[in-house]
Amino acid sequence: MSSPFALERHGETTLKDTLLAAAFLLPSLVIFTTFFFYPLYRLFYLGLHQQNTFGTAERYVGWKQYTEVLGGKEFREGLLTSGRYVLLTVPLGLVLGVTLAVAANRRLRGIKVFQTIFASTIATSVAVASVLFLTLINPQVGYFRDVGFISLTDPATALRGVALSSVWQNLGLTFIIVLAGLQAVPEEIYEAATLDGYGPLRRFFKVTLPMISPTMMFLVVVLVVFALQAFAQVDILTGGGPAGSTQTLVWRIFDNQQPRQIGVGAVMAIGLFAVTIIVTGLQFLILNRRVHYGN
Amino acid sequence: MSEVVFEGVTKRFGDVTAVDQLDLEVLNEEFMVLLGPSGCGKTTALRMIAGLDTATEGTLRIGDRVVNDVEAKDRNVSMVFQSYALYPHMTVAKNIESPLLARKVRVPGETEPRKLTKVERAEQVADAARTLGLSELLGRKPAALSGGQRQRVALGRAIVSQPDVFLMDEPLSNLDAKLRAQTRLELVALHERVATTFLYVTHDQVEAMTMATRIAIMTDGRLQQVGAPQGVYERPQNLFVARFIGSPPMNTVAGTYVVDAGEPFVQVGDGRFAVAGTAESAPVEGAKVVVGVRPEHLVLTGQGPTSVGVTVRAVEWLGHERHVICDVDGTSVIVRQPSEGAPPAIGGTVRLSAAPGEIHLFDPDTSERIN
Repeated sequence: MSSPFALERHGETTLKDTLLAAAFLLPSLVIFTTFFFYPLYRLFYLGLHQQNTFGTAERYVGWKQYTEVLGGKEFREGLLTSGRYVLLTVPLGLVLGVTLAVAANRRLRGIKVFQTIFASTIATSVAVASVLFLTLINPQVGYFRDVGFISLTDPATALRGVALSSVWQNLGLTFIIVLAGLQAVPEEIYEAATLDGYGPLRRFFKVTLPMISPTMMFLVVVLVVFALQAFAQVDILTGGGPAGSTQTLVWRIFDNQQPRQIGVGAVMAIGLFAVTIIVTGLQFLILNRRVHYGN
Repeated sequence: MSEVVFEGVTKRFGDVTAVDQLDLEVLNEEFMVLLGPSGCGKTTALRMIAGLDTATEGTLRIGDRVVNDVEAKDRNVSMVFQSYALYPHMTVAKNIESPLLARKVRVPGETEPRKLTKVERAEQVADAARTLGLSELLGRKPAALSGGQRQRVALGRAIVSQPDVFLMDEPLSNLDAKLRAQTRLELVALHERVATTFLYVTHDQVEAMTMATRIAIMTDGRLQQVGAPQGVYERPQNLFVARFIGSPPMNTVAGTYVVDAGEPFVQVGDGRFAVAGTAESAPVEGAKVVVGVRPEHLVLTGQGPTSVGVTVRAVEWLGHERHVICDVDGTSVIVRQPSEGAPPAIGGTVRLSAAPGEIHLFDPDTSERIN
């Protein structure tokens, strides 16, 4: 419905309007430029150059550095480790989060206590979670010292140990988001399913899961990005070891921060950025078809 | 094809008694409307039959089976929810098919109910869709449907499993007025076609009056009266029913029962109304009563032995009729008149009379009908 006033103004943009629009855009523009566009440009620039040992001089090496690093063994192995890390953390994290949320999504006396406990890991930092797990998995005194399949000293299992700490730490977030999604499902839909004779399993897979599919999609995207960016837990728990078995891409980027190597690190960072965008884009392409939004 | 019986059914939620000692028999293939204001317990009663709530006390029966401990899916009932509760991620066809996937269905010519095959399910869905005019919409999702279409999908999901009892919880409340009027007719037609027991909950007396075989009126968890729409309208059993049914509602004013020369009257304001002779339950002379008269039964008259003087406060003109709002002893009284002729002057005094048979008397203490 357009008022006569709107009609008068239609199509005209006065200088005042433009200035006002610019004023509104300015704060976010400043923030994005300072913390995103400029660093991205700087990264790109670094990738085209090589620095001396002290970082006091640089020379242009061009695209050669990009093709060499992105086609190289270090990037490929880092990406592979990061990929394994995604597979180790995301499905398990989702299953556990959904299980806890479904279990806690009922009207029982005292359920808030459990909901708070389940959600509490959201209040821990990666560092705290990692130190906690470092203690738990400690080969001498740790509670899980005899649990072989997450041993941090065995190259075959170390990534699992790191992944487990990540799963635990992200569980609070996953739990809260799934619970919010579950609570947005109208009770009457479940009642209709009850009358339609749905058992608990059919109800979960045919009603609950589709109804929270937008939530699940969001979580998959976020958890994959988290996993691709995981650094602190690797650095604290294993420092990339043993035998380089936990050197994720981000860890390798960080490992390449000495001035001589900074160009290589920059290229790997750009590579990770591209991989993250592509993976996320693919998720939207593939998952969106299965996601049902709203009414 | 079954009757539904509540025997002394009570439902308490903590300290709140939602349904209090409900005794009600819904006859086989009857269209029973549970009518009452919000919070009166009618939806709870319905949900207990559906198996979504359990009765705290009493016995629930469907047919000759006590269903208190029978699971919802095994009661062979279908329900249309107020919000329709369609599965938003499923197509219309899948929504309608849904109850056939897990529930056993009676098949003509077979003794035991069983689950249908895929082909049979498709046939049933197509049948239901044809009945409800949804055949063109089977591939759509609920989001792409209008309110009326969604409502019909909900009906389709209910009829497809050929239940013994249809339960409906205010299914028309999300429709606009025009669609509601049309859907009322369709529901009556559907009831005739499927010849099944309907238990329908609403707070809308128009829905109750137009569709019901019988109406059960509830308030505060208690059943007030059960009867055919006309019977309930013409002989309300208590003041609640008298005031709840009818629009505008029945006028109720305080009066005194008197007998003059052997003829019964009620004294109201400065005059009196003649009362039809009431043999067995006549009140004692001089008893205080509440006098009920429907607006359409009040007539503006001249002076007369059986008339009551009132002051005209306002006149509402509605096109086909008008409501004259009068004041008698500080109580508002509405008179329904045809809209022809000049309306009475506002602020003036007129006299009202009514046929003796149209005067309803209620006990002011118990609110029960006394004539």
